[in-house]
Amino acid sequence: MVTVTLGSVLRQAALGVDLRRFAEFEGTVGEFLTQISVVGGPRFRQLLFDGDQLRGVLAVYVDGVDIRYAGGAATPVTRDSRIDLIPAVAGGAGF
Amino acid sequence: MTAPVRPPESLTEPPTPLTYPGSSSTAEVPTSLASGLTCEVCGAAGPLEVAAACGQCLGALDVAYDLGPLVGSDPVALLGRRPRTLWRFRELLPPIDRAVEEGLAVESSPLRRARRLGELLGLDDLWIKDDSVLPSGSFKDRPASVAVATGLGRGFTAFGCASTGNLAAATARSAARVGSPCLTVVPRGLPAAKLAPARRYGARIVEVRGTYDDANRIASLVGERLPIGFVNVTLRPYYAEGSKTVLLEVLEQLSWTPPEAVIVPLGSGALLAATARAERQVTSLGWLDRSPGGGLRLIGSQPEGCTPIVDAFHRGADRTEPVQTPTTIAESLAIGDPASGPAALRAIRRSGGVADAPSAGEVTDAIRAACHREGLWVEPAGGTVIATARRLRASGVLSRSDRVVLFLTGAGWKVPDVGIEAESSLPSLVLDPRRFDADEIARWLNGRDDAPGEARAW
Repeated sequence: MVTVTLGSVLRQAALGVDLRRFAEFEGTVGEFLTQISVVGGPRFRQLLFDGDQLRGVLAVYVDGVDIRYAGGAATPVTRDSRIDLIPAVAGGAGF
Repeated sequence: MTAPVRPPESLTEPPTPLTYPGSSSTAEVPTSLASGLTCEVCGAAGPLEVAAACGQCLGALDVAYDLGPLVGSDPVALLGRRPRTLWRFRELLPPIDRAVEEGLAVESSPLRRARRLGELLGLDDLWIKDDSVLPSGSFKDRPASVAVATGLGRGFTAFGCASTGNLAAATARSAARVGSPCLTVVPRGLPAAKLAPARRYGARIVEVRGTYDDANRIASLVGERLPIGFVNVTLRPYYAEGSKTVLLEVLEQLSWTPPEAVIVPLGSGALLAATARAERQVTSLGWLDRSPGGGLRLIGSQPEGCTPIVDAFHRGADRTEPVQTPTTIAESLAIGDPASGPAALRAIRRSGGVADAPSAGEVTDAIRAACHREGLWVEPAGGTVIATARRLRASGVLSRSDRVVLFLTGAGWKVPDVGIEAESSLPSLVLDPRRFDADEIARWLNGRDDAPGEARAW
C-alpha cells in the first residue's frame, strides 16, 4: 500500500482529501503528484506545483530517497512505496 | 514536568500565552519590534506563530519587524546599561517572556585583535569574533537560545534539532536550562567529542545512517508526529534570528563602525543570511557610522568537498545544486543541500562580497596557525574561514589595510583529531625520573629542526 506523509502546511491544504484512494497506485512520482493535486484542490496544487513544475521548495522523498538523487519526477512508485512531502525549509531546497 | 502540548498549526490561530516552567509570568518583553512573519519567496505576511513554511508557496519564513520607533535612536544610550547578553538586542529579536531572559541568556563573546595571525595572512587590521568560548562551544548557543525561548512561549515543553553536532550541544544545553527534554537527530559517525556535550546535557540522540540532510528530513517528519519544538525546523524563523547577534555584537564592539569585510562559514547559509539581515536593520535604524562609500562585504567560506553555495556563486546561479554525499573535514559545514543557500547568495552579491572554498590542507594549516599564533583552537569551520582570508588576501580581493572580522564559530576541542597529524609527528620525550638529565631535554628541544608549521626555535 502506498503511504503518504504530508508536512503540516500541505496537510492543512489537503484537509478532506482521502489519499487512501491512491493506495494501489503504481507509476511515477510525477504522475502520483499530478493525480493527488487534482483531487486535492487548487490550494493543494498550488503548494505542489509552480505552473507545471514541482515547487523548488518542496522536498519529495520516495522510500526515503530524495527524488533529485533518484529519477526526479520519473522516480518509480510501487504499491509498497512510502512518499514524504515536506517543505524544504531546513535542509533540502530546490530541484 | 508539564504534559506535552501539541503546538498550534493553524496560520490564523492566535499564539498561546507565553509561559515558562517555574514561573507564573506570562508577560512578553514589550520592546521586541517583531511584527509578524513574512515569506522570503512570495512575500506573504502572517502573524507571529509556529509556522516553518509559507502557507501560500511553502517558502521559508522570516521574522518581520516594525523598526519605526527605533529609527534615529542612539544605540549607545539604548544599550548602555543592559547586561552583556544576546537579549540586549531584544528589539531586534522575537518577543519572549522576560522570565526566560536570565535562564537562556548567552553572554557576548569577545572580539579580539589578531595581530600575529594578521602578520601571517598579510592583514594589518584583522579581528576574530570568538564564539568558541560560548557555553556549548559554538555560536549555535545563540539561535538555540532564541528558538527555545520562543518555543516555550508557543506551548512547547520539549525541544529537538537536526544537527551536525554543534546545534545538538546548544539545543540540549538550552533545554536543560529550562528543564525540558531534548531529542537530537544527527548523522551517524560524528566524532565522540562532538556529541559528548549533548549527551552530558541529557539529550536523547538518534543517529541516522546517512547524511545531515537525511537527519534533517527525519527531524521534520518526527516534528509532524510529536509535540517537539525542533529548533531549526518547527521554530526555524525564530531560530534564525538568534544568529543576527554575532554581527550586532561585532558592530557594537567596533563602536558601530562596520569593518570592510566579515568572513562567515557557510553550512546551511543561515548565519550569513542572518548577518545580512542584521546589517540591513541597523542600517535602517541609522546606527552605523560609515565612511562615505564604505560598505560591509559579506564573504562566505565553504570547505572543499561540500561547496554547493560557492559553486552556485561562481556559476552566477540563484539556486544551489545539492551535494548528495559531502566529504569534508569540516563536518559542521557538511550540509549538501543548504536551505538558506539562495538567501546567502543574494546577500553575498548585494554586499559586493565573494564566496570561497579552501582545500582540506589549507583548512588544517589554518587551524594550526590559529593555535600557534593566537592560542586559539578552532574547529575546521573556523579553519575554513581563516584559510579563505589567506586566499583572498593572496589574490588581492582583500587589501592589507582592510579591517576584516573572522567569524570563528566553534571550538577545536570538539574535533580533536582533525589536522593532528603534524602535532603527532612531534612525539613527547619520555623520561625515566631516576635518570633525569636536563641536558637531555635541552638536546631534545634543540633537535626539533624538522618541526613543521609554526613551531618555535628554542
